[in-house]
Amino acid sequence: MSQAEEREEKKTILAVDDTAIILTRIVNTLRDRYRVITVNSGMRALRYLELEKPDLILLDIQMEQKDGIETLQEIRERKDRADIPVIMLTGVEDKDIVLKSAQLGVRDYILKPFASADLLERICRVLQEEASKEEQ
Amino acid sequence: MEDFSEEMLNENIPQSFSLNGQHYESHSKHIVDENGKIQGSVILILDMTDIKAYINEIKRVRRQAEKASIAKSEFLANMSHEIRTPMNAIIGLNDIIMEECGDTEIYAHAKDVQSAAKNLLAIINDILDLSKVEAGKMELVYVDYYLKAMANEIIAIMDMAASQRGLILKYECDETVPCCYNGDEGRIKQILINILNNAIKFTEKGYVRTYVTGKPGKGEDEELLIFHVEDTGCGIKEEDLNKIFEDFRQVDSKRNRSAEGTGLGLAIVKHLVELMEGTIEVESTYGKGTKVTITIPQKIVDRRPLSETPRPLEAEEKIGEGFTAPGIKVLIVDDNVINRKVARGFLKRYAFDLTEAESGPEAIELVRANRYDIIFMDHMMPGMDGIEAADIIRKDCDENGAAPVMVALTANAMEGMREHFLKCGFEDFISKPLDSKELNQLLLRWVPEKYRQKEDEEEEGKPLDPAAFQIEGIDMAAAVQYYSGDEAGFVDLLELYCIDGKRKTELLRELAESDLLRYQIEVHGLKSASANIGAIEVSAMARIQENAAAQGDRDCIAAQFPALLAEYETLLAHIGQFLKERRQAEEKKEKLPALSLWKLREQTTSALEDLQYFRSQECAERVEELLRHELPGEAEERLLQIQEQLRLYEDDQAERLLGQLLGILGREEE
Repeated sequence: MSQAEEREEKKTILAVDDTAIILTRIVNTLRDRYRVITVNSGMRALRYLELEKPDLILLDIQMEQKDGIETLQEIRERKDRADIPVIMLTGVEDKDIVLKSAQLGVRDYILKPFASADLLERICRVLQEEASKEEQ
Repeated sequence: MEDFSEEMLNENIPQSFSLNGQHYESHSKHIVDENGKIQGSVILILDMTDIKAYINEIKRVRRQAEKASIAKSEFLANMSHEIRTPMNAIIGLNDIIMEECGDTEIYAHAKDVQSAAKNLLAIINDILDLSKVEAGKMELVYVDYYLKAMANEIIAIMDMAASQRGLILKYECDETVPCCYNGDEGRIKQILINILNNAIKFTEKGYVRTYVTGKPGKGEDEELLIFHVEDTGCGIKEEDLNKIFEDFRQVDSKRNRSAEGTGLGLAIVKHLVELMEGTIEVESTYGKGTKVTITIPQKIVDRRPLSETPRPLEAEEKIGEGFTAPGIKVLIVDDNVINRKVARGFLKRYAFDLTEAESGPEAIELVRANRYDIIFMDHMMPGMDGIEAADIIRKDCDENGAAPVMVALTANAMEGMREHFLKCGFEDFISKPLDSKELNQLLLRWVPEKYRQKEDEEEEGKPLDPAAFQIEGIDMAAAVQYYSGDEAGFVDLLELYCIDGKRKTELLRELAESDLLRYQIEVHGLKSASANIGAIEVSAMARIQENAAAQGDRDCIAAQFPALLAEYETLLAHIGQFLKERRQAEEKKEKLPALSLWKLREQTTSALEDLQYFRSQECAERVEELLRHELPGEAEERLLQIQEQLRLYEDDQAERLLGQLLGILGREEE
């Protein structure tokens, strides 16, 4: 399948995490159904977002340098990117972070370690919600 | 008072009435003369206020108790679900941690979590069982079963537990008793597992012996099955013998502090045996050992003796017709990368749609998302074993879990294992190392005819030439016995063996001194992986170590492990050297011709562009393609670095390196 065709058919998911093994698991889990863009830092994520608008972002919270919350704040400040649905991925269950993510309109929240089926299911659900929003 | 006067005179009918907030009851009795004429009445009026309040209170308490009892039953029913669900989540997520942590300390903690969680689950199940028995809600489920299959299954389960404690599990069965019965097989298993567990738990050294026999029962078609379980453990004091069947009781608690358990096991066993109208007797000599005898009447279904137990139906066998079936989805589950590779090699000619999983949890996830036709499942895997994984797949993966044919893969080709696997949700069973004829027959049994296509003219790679593999420590005659594939495939195997070897030597060194159970699993893996490539010496030594680990024989491990390690490392070095030479020879032969500097620059620029547009995968493919060509030394080295960075998702680093490479190429062009 050519790249252009792939982009036609598959939705694009941006996965942001600074752990290689997590990115590998995400890619392995999602690649059959989605086009997955992997970046290992918040900065690279923001740079990617200047170029393209993915259908969904999977965002790790704990990252060196720019963490997930900061990255998300900057995404929300960008006019034409603010409405991308975001699912947070994190290794810690922190009340403040949940609250803050909620304020920033996070659509779902996945605790690591995650089960692949769970990841897939949640992404599907959020994308379906988006699709039905668009229909209305 | 006047309203009541009439009724009050009704003999023997007490009347109740209230007055000024007080409650009264009147009883009357006529006074009759000798002619039967009523002369008068005795009327007794009692103040019932207090009594009534008292009765109401009793009624209220009783209603409450009834409610509580209902609540208790409901609570217990719910508890099984409510507790098991999070427990399964804990166990499942913990398995993921064990799979992915890559850190021995974390692994060790996670392993402890696993065993604690499983213990807790066992306790919960015990409590639920006991409350069911007490509530009279335990119902027996009658099925037809073969005694031999059941006994073998139990022995297979307990053998592992016994060998972990360095005990020998002896097992004998009277071959003359009838072979098939009708009864609650599951509960009989539970009883025997409980008794055997106890025997193993309280025996420090020596053996646990099980002997199964029978004698004619009351009716014509009844057999009294007798199970003896004898151990050389710590024994029970005479004064304690009566207490052992009480709920929540562990006798001699000071001495047995190390033995875990709720103390519910034997209480449940006793209830269950009595429910089946059987008896249980315990003889014990304190300090010497204990003998438990369980007698259970069972209805005979098939009178043929045990020695003539019919084998499970074997499908009619068509010999050796090869075929392809591209539409069939097959999943291979094995923790050992070499074994997976071997299975893949064997299955290649059938052109199935193959997927691999390296653990039970991974297989379960895959099955949730995909519909497979056949699943090959390894039996012994660290963490979740194949039987457990199969069980979860059958129970928790809806239709996807019900659909596939499950085939157990095992290196323990014990008699009766087939029956054992068939009971555990498997349809079939094949032993390792795989045999291509056996596999073909198995596939003919399970791949529906309509999906099979006649084997085309096979387009195979270069056939394996044993003479081309002169490696010290590898017996090619042994290798070709098990390997069916082309030369490239065998080289792949050797490469994997080498890569795996680096990890494994470290791990073995560490585990030999600490964790015998994991050591056992690792040397077990080494045994079969080595046999696969014909490294019979290493395989044989690993086998001895596996047995030693199973017996808990640390002396034997300490004495012989260094020799195994030395042999293994030498072998790895030989294979490494062989592969290196072969690679060099092939590189000369097979590298694509050198690219022009201009072309190289163009491709490097495109690769960099890919990365700048976040097309990491395309970039990696481009770099790989470049590496196929003959390259100037420095460029090749850089590209290899870039390839590694891309694998680690360090795209920024890869971008930087690509930039540098472009600079170098630019200078060279000038």
